[in-house]
Amino acid sequence: MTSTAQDEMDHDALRAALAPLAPEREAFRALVRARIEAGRGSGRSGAAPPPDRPDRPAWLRRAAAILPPGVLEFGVLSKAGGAAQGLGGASALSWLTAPWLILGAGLVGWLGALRATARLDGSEAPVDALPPLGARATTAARHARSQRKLIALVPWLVVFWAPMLAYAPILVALFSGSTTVWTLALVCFSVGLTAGVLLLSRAGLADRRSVAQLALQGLSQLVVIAVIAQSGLAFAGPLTRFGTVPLLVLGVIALGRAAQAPAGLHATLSLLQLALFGLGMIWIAPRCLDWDAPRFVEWIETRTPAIDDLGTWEVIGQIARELPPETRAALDLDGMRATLDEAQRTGLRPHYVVGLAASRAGILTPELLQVYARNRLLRDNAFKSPRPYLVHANESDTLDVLAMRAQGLLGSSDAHGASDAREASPSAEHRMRVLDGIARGLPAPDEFHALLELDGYLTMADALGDAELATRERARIQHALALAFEPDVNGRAGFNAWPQGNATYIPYIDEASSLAAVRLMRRVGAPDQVDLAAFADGATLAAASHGLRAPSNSEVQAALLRYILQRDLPVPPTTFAARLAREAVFLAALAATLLALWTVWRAPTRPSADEGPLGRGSI
Amino acid sequence: MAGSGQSPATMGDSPDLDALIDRWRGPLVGLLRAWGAQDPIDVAADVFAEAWLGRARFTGRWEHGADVGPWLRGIAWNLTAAAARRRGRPAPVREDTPTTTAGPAEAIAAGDERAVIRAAIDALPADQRAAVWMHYLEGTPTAEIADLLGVPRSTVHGRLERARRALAGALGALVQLPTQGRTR
Repeated sequence: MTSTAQDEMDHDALRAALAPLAPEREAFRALVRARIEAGRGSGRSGAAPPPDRPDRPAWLRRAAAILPPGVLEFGVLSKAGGAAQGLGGASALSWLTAPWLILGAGLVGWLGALRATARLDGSEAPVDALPPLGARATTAARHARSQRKLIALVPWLVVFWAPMLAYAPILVALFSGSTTVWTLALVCFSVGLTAGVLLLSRAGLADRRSVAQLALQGLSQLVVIAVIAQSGLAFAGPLTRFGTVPLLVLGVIALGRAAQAPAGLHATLSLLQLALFGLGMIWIAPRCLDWDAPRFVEWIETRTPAIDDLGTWEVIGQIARELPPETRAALDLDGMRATLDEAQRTGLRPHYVVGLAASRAGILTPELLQVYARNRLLRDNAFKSPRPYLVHANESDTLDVLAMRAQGLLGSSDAHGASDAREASPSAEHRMRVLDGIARGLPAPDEFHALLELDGYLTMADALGDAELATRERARIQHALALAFEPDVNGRAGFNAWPQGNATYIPYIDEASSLAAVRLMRRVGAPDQVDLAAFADGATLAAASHGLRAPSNSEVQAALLRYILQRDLPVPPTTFAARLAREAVFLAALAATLLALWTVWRAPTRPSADEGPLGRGSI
Repeated sequence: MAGSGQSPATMGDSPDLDALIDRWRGPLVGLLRAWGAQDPIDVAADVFAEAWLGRARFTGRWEHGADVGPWLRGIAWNLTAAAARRRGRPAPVREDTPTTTAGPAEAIAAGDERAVIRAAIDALPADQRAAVWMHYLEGTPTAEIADLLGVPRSTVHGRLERARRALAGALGALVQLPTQGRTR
């Protein structure tokens, strides 16, 4: 730099003045990376949060920890989050099942019953405490008119109204499997019973026996439905699962005694009922498949699936890939080997699902593997084509890649650098082209089956020695996880094959997507939008088997989900409040039974207009 | 991801982060200083982080400075203005608006020659001040500055020339500082 004129400031002087304020190169890079990491954690990037998980103020989050979920979902959160979901289907249902509202309804029923029984008590007041004769006559005439109206109404109320209150919610519960709806059903039964008794008593039609018979019918229905609905209560606590039916049966027996049925018949029926329900409980009661690795090994080793039993093969493959390598190597799978050998002898090429499962279980012979090498990637791209490889995240392409790698057609997995690999050998170039095809095939986060495809592509990249794909695609994977997470579908959390934002989105829990989600989350971590505790609860709910029969494939798959979720992800421990919430059905059943017994106990012993609920001589 | 050193390194559809930083760090920090950002290095780091995390929204070509520059400048402006609003202070002054900054009298009193020059630079009109900070902080070529500001290179050259002349005039009477001819 030269000084050609004295009318301008010197470059060096300006540099010398400003350069000390320049950031240091490496420190600045590190600072940016730190900000990026922080931004990923806090969602500061400006990336839109999933549509149904708007940011919520701290006070609402605190309130949500105390209040029942339905209340906030319906009322406040929808407004605070700006999401137009307040009165929409799911939120409206949440509102209807809000426990606070149910408790309020129960309280109203209780107070109504108290009022009714207070009038019964009043009928026994001493004569000298009664009002003057004229006033009594007026009151009696008014009561008589009311009573006649009630008598006219009672048959309709008994036929339509009481069953609606008592049984309609139970039918809803039957098809729901939700503990919240079950609680609603039980409390509605109590309220309905109390209200029915109140009306019957006021009409002078109810005595203890008729009230007890009404309650007996209601509780008996509850017992039957409770036994049937056990399949939906696996998520519930032990008291609810194993105590609800016995409690209701005891209530039925007690009410039967109160209904003054012939003693011998009553005792026989009660014992018969208990025996039947005991058998039903054994058969239907859910068992959580809390399996560990040895139990999964036992399950695999006792399977001998037919060559076309794809469902079993798929679950076997899923389990095998999750077992520790030494355990997998020690598996005794002679039965499955024989099935594969037989298929090979007869010239059958087993389905790709079978081939991949066998590969994961370590029983796919090199000869059989090469059968899969004559597939799409080799045939369509033929290595000589200049077109980019189109790699799909499915069983056939995965097997293709494995077979090509075994043939040495994809170079060494040790060759990592792109330029080095291209220079190393033609096979290394093919490997890079397959990796390029994988990168091109990665799905958008809102695509159908995005989680399954991401997991499949990562598996293929791992097989090709590119273990960093997950790191490079962390943002995409976490976004896909956030979009696919379903916090509540019929009382269960999990992952959907249809992500939110997809044009064909429907609320649904997909077991395969949930398994893929766990595998993805253990590589890139769980995004903030995923509630791991709820996910674990949902997995527990799904990992339930019923009766004495062997668990089905889907139940074993759910057990595997629960196993790897608990093993690999930092699932928060269950809180006391959550444990209590899981016993809500039992507590509601207890309240329903006690309320029924109390109502029967407080009912008049004889139906009488003279000694009816509205007072002596009221007719 | 290692920085390649060469200008616009890309990996597929995403930029090489280190190359992106190396290319735009100097002019961006300089621009933020010219705007009066309270901690320009900190804000610049935020700008790169925002750009990286939100790169899916970038619709231009990473190898084209004319695409990347305005995008980074837009993020920088939003962050700086938002920070100023949070602090309850006026928004930063853009490079194309006049300045009312005071002269270098305090720096002269302190006897620090570099501080005197910096104070004189800060007293320049906003467009010239930005050009000087962006160019001399790390010796950034004028092409990147032009891309970042969204103006032709000749405009940057003109602003630098006028700035050097103004600085020479302002400082010449106060202290004996070296002066010279045209820029590269």
